[in-house]
Amino acid sequence: MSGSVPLLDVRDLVVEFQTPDATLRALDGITFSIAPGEILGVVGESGAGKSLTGLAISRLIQPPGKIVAGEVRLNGQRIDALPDRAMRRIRGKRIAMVFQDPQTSLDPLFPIGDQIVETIRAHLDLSRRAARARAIALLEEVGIPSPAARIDAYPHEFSGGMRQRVVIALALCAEPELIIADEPTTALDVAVQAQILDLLARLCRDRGMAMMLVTHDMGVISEITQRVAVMYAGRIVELGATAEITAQARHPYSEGLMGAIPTLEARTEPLLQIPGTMPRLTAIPQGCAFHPRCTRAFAPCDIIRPALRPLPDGHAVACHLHDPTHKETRP
Amino acid sequence: MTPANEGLHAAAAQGAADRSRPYVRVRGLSHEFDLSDGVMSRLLSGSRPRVLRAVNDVSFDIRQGETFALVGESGSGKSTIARILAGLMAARAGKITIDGHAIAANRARPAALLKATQMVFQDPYASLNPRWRVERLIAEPIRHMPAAARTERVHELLRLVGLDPLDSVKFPHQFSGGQRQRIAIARSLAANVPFLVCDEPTSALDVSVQAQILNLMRALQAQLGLTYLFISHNLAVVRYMATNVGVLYLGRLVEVGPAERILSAPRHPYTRMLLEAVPGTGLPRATVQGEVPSPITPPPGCTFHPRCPLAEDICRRQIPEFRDGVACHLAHRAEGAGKGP
Repeated sequence: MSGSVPLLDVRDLVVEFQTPDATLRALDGITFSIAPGEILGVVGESGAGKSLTGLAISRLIQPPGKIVAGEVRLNGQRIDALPDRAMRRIRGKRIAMVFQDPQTSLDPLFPIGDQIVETIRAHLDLSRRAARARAIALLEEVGIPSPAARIDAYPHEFSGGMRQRVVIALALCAEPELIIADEPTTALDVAVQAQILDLLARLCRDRGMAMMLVTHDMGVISEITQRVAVMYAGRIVELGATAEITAQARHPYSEGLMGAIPTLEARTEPLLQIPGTMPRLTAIPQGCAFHPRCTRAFAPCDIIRPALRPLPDGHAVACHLHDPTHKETRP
Repeated sequence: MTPANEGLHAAAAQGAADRSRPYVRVRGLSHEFDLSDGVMSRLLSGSRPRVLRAVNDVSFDIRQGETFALVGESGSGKSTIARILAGLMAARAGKITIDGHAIAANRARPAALLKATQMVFQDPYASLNPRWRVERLIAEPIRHMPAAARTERVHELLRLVGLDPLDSVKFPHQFSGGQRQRIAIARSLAANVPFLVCDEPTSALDVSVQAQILNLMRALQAQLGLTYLFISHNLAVVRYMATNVGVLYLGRLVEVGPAERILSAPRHPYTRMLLEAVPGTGLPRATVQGEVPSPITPPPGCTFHPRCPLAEDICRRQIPEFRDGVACHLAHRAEGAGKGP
């Protein structure tokens, strides 16, 4: 993130859902950026809004959900207000997506080769034959054994891990600059998950591709990301270098999250416990959304919503405990 | 101690008197699923019978008040073993002894097992009847108790798992996933059965809620002397919960031992692979190829050999016997030669 134009720049993104009873704010002022070639992790529990952030960036939010404020820039160009036709040329070409369940990303009625060739030809000006050769090369790159023989196989003829590799090949079709991967390994067995993570990290390294990796698994985050955004109730509460957040989180929520995860080390004391659960969208508390569960909440927490403020070391945290203006009242 | 939990405590005290004898003992448990086509279509198309051996000669012991964890990938047979032990289905062969009572595992829904074990399921959204109130859900195993005592017991159990007795009149949809799992645990404790089979009890939960449930399960175990069979694919969770661990691969136990040893110095290459695959540990990874093969046509010899970085000729030909806690030709040889693997 040094000086130069970030690849992806998200500013104050707000997404709301209009229901008959109320307007629900699902994303509230999301601000972050991803540098070219960087892997950013987005972590949080169910309902925090991490998947929605990915969908909002790629403009795949379905009504009644709607982006109501904020800006999304790709290489300096605003993409949040582009017409749908122009957005279709960016989605799949410059921004690619990989979802959790490879089964739903592939059409069960067509051989995988047809699907890859179709995607390639939708974005690149290639003949059918050249596109097929490219599809075979992509399948080879993502580690499908004997790709020339497997290209005409149907999705059901692949195992779960192999199917996810096919989906990744599909995402690579048009040399995207950014991949948004939403829980790409959650549906896989642990040994296969390790293989897919290694593959994604290698592809980003070899191709200089950036990735936004959405997951609830801190192990996955610490394995391959450089920076991580921790989300809670539709907001980013902490953003910083992965090594720092895993070793010394500043926000009480991230701290609790790290302490709640069992590790392979021997331990006798119980896991850290955050009382309660994440609030529903219909009942997000005033002030800091985390304050009813926070053991260190003090005077301003239930009134003023803390902004995501950068600390001197480049870390950013949305918590009054780290805000010098509340130094006097801090417990 | 509350009067309602005296039964559990009495059971715990009785077991404590005889610590040397395992509380649960499983011997030669096997189960297969018949995936063949119907008789008529087999005759017409000439297709052969197809049999999936989900559980293959599995034996282990669990001592009173301890947690035995079964780990493995999908298709390893861990949930099948859980369902057999909970009395939800019959095995093809094997013998189960719980608290000294021998039960033939091949009888359909053995009544003795249904009385001797309780089960906690993975998905608390599916395991609680949405039309029943909490009181009825929790009281299902004790529905023959007099009404007043039953209500008293339900309130007791709700307090025990960290819920409010007033919650007994609510329906499941009024609770979060973690609270539902607390209700499921309360139900499993209702009948004073001190042995719980827990099949991935926290896999469907978020990490902060998972921590609450794991801590609760450990506290209840210490308080009531419960014995757990704990099924999980998450090795870190297993490390936190288990006393002993059994590693399953394609229906066979490949390694059994104390959790501490298995998860720090594994002897079987498959255990080592599972451990190295845990993301974020920074362990170096021997590149493991491939995925679990089809259990319908398992590879000959050691079923792990196609994925094993150390496989030798003997591994392809001969099934390794399970000896001294591990089923691996190389581990046996290394130990036979008087040094560690």
